Amino acid sequence: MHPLLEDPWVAARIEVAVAPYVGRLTPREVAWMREQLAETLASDEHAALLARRARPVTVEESGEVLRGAGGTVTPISAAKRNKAG
Amino acid sequence: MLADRDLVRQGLPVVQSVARGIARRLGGIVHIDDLLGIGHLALIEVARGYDPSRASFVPYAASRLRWAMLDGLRRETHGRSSSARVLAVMACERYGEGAEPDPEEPTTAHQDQASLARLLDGKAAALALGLLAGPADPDLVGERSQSPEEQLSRAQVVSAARDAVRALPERERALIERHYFGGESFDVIARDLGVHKSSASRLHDRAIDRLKAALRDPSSIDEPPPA
Repeated sequence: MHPLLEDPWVAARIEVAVAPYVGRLTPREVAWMREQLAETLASDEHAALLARRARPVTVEESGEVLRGAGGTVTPISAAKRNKAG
Repeated sequence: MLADRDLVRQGLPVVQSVARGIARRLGGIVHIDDLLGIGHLALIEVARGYDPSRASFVPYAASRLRWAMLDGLRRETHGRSSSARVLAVMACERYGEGAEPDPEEPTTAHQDQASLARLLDGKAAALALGLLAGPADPDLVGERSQSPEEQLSRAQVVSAARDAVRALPERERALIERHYFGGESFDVIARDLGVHKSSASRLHDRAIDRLKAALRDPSSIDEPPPA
C-alpha cells in the first residue's frame, strides 16, 4: 500500500474520487487507482501543493494559521498585504 | 556542443530518477532497463532543445523525459494488455497539467479543498478512461476469476465509455479517440488539429470532465452523432 494512503485525511479524499468506479471497475482496478492517485499527490509538485493547502488548518489564538503538519505559519492579513504589494 | 554534453551529464541522474518513478507506478509490466534506454536517447534531444531563458534544466528535463518514456511505452504496448495501465498513467499525468495553482495566490481553505477534489475527480476519471480504452489487463481484471455476470457488467462499462467518447464535441472526440483508442501520439494529433500542445492539454481536460459524468452514470450520455 502507498504510504500516503495511511494518512486518513488523504485516504478519505482519494476514496471520494474513486467511489463512483467501485462496482463498475474491478476491485483490483479500483485499488490500483487509489495507489496512482496517492502517487500523484506524492510526486506531482502542483498536486502536492494543492493537498498541503487543502488540508484543514489549525487557527492559533494569535490568529495565525497553520496549514497541515509542520506547515508554514502565515497570518492571513500578511498574505493579503503581500499580495496587494 | 560542449554545452549539450554538460547538459547530458546533468540529465543522466534525472533519467534514472524518472525511470524509477515510472517503473514503480507501472509495477511489473515494464523493465527499468527499457525505460533507461528510451530515456538516454531522449536526453540528447532534450539537451539540444533546452532554452535556459525559459526554464531550469532539471525540471524541464524531468518533464520531457517522463513524456518521452511514457510515449515510448505507449507505442511498444499498443494493442497489448499492458497498454491499459500505460494509457491510464498517461491520462492521469496529462489531466490538470495546464491548470496549475499559483503558489503565491492566497486562497481560502474551502477553495483549496474544492480544487483538490476537482483535481482528484478528474485524475480518477482519466485513470478509468485509460483502463477502459486498452485491452483488459489480466492482472487487474482477472477475467478468469470473473463470473459471467461480472464479465457482462464490465463489457457494458466499456461500451458506455465508447459511447460517451463518441458523444463528445468533434475536436475533443478526435483527440480522445485517436490517442486512447487509436494509439496515436498526442503531439501529432495536436498538430493535426492545428493547436499548440498546451491548448490540446486543455481540450483533453475538458473532454475528461465531460466523460467523468458518463463514466459514473452511463444514463447521462447524450446520443452520439450519427456515423
